[in-house]
Amino acid sequence: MKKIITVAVGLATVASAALAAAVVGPGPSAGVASSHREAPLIAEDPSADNTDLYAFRSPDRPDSVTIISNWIPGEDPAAGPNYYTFSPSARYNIYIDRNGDARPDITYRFRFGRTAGPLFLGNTVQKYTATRTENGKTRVLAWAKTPPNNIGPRATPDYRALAANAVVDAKGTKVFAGQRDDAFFGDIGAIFDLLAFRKGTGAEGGGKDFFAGYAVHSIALQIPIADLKAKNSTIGVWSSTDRLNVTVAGKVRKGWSQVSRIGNPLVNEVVVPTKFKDLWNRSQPVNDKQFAGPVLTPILAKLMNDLYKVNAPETNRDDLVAVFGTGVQGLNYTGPTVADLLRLNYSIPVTPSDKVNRLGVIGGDNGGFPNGRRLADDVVDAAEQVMAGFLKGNKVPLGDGVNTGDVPALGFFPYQADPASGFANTKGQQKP
Amino acid sequence: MRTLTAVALATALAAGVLLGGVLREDPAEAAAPNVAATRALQEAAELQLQARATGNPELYPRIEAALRRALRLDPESAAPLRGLAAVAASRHRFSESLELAEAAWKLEPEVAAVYGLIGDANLELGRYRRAFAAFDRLAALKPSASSYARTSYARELRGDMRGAIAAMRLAVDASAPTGEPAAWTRTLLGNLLLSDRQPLAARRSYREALLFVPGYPAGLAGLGEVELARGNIRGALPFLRRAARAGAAPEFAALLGDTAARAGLEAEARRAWREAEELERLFARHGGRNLLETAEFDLTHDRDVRSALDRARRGRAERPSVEGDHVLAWALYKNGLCAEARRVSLRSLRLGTLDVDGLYHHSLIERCLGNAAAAQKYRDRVQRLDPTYLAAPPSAKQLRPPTG
Repeated sequence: MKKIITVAVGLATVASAALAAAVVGPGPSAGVASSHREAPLIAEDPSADNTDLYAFRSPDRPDSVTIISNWIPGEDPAAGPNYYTFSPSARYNIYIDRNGDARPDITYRFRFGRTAGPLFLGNTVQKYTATRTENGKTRVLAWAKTPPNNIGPRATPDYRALAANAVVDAKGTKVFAGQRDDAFFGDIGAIFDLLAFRKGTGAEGGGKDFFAGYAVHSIALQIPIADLKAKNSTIGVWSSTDRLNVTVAGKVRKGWSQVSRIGNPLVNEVVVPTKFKDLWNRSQPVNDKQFAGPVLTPILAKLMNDLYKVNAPETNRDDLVAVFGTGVQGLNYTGPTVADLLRLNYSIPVTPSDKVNRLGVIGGDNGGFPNGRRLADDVVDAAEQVMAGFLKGNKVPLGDGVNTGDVPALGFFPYQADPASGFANTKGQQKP
Repeated sequence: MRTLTAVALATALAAGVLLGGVLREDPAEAAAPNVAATRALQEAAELQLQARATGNPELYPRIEAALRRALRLDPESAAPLRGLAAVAASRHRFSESLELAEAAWKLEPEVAAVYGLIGDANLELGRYRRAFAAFDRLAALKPSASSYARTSYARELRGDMRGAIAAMRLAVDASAPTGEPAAWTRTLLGNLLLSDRQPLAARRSYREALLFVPGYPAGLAGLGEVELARGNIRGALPFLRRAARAGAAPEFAALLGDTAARAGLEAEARRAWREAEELERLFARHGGRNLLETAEFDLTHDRDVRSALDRARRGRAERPSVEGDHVLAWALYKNGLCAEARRVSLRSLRLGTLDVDGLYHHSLIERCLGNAAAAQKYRDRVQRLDPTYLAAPPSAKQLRPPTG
């Protein structure tokens, strides 16, 4: 049995018992939502896994739009020596459609270098190149560096300054790439337990935020509105990750394939059936009409009725197609092309901070989701209420009981809070 | 034969990750009306994780039962079929695995992972054109650690070591930088680097793997192999002992036995060999097919060669891959049937794999037939590929006289 065809026993037999914990382990390696768990095999490629996308008019610089795209679900800052970075062999994209055809008019693309030393020494700074393509012309937007991951006060002292120094100004566009606190919040434990509500119908708090203390890797852009020039002042934004193509007979060769994408929150999780998730992740938004079926008759609406008798409309859900696929008339409609884009009408003013409603448009606040998405928008509650038929007059105060993130956002670019440090280990238990 | 260890791990990843992967359902479906089917799938996934962690083949029948239950409850779902295909592959039942994977493909052709299963099974059944086409399809639909690792293995089989290493580096980049996936891809990269005579780079890769998963048996075995490649038999032993102790894999116990024997530690060698045989018996008792494995073990240790030839013939009939050909050719040689051995051995080399064992065995077969020039040619290739190999080659002894 030396040198034998041990084929598949492989991992079954080479792993130690200790490994089981690593595989099954606690924490959001088994994470979900918003796009924290998706197509079967993307789970093994977290550095290519788009988790959330945000787009909003910058509150402190209202002549600009901020776009934030997050990757790598559930980074535990305290899980050294396993530190996450952007993949040096992937390509990270943010696309903007300015005329409603669901094709990119402006493309921002990021490629990251390898870290200078072994990751387990905490050396997580990566150089990167950002490019901007418009009208077929590509120019370098920035050559810059990420800050290190937030390891702790000895390895990465004064983290605020490290992060601030990583913001670059590229001819009026601000750029940041690196680790951030995950702004997403939600009671994933309850949602997975057959959409359980810990308290009432979920709109009265009492939930447990699964994402507290976890980090993501983030790319943030702050783009002058003058550079956007969108029809009806409405842009469609989406983000994706590409990986290199290979063939058995070829060397590692040119060419890329998209392996992940995101537009609106929760679409991949809630709307796209499992068997189509790979197809979804590799397809382009312009072809999203093929997925309209599950949106018109969503399985989740039926499930909510079966479980809680909320009277959600189960068929002909053109309201959902509007929210996720075309934009809502009078708000951020971009035309008849059905595509999962995060649509932002940037002519709508920034909502003053004392008027912000976490539910966004259904809470009477047009400055938030689904008119773009702000960091504090409670998309889980909004999605549950919309799914129950809010826009069709069936207003049920559903929610997961988690109404804010665990850490307040910064009041300035890149907005998402600094990640918790590994040393702080916010999820750990202090022993006596 | 690094190649074979790589297969081991490649298909393993495939099976393990895949099964884990397919069974992860999203909230909508986890709570779908067919909750019982989903629960059965989850049970299978948990058992599969246990099987991966402990290497205990007793879990396979239980995983299979849970998946069959899921399939009965939800016959339209391809997930249980993909799971069953993966379990069949784990038990080396590749015809069965292929049948199940193709049934899954018919139900859900858009799921990329099924091409990995189809490719793995075809590869072990010796249908290389189909296997490589399936891997290319997988990579086109979804480049990922598991597609890169499979592409790497296919390139290795074709003798393209540089291409294999390049693809495995992509697999390292595309795997999670934590725990098992990180350790797994780095171990495979180490194996390739070692085969490519880059022992120091290989050692770095194994050490990285061990930082991600302390005590990772395949990484420890790799460090042992690095020492063996440097001729440091005593230095290899501590690593191999830990690998054999930590993992329940017969190949690590067998390698420890062989190395202990080279170091003159006969009692330890015998213990390790017995452990390896016991693990193979356990695997077979729970539905695993290992005729080729046990045949090769016996042939390498010059015992039971008649029965080994019988097992090699039957094993190759169920697994007509280049590995099947290789073991059968070696069994024929050991039994003095050199003419038939040559035909089968040439088949085993048909992909151009840079497999030192296969090439060395072929040189012995040519010598047995009196083809001195050909024998020398293959010996020279072995020497070029691994200058240390001929210092301690496998036993060339034939237990029955050559009969032509």
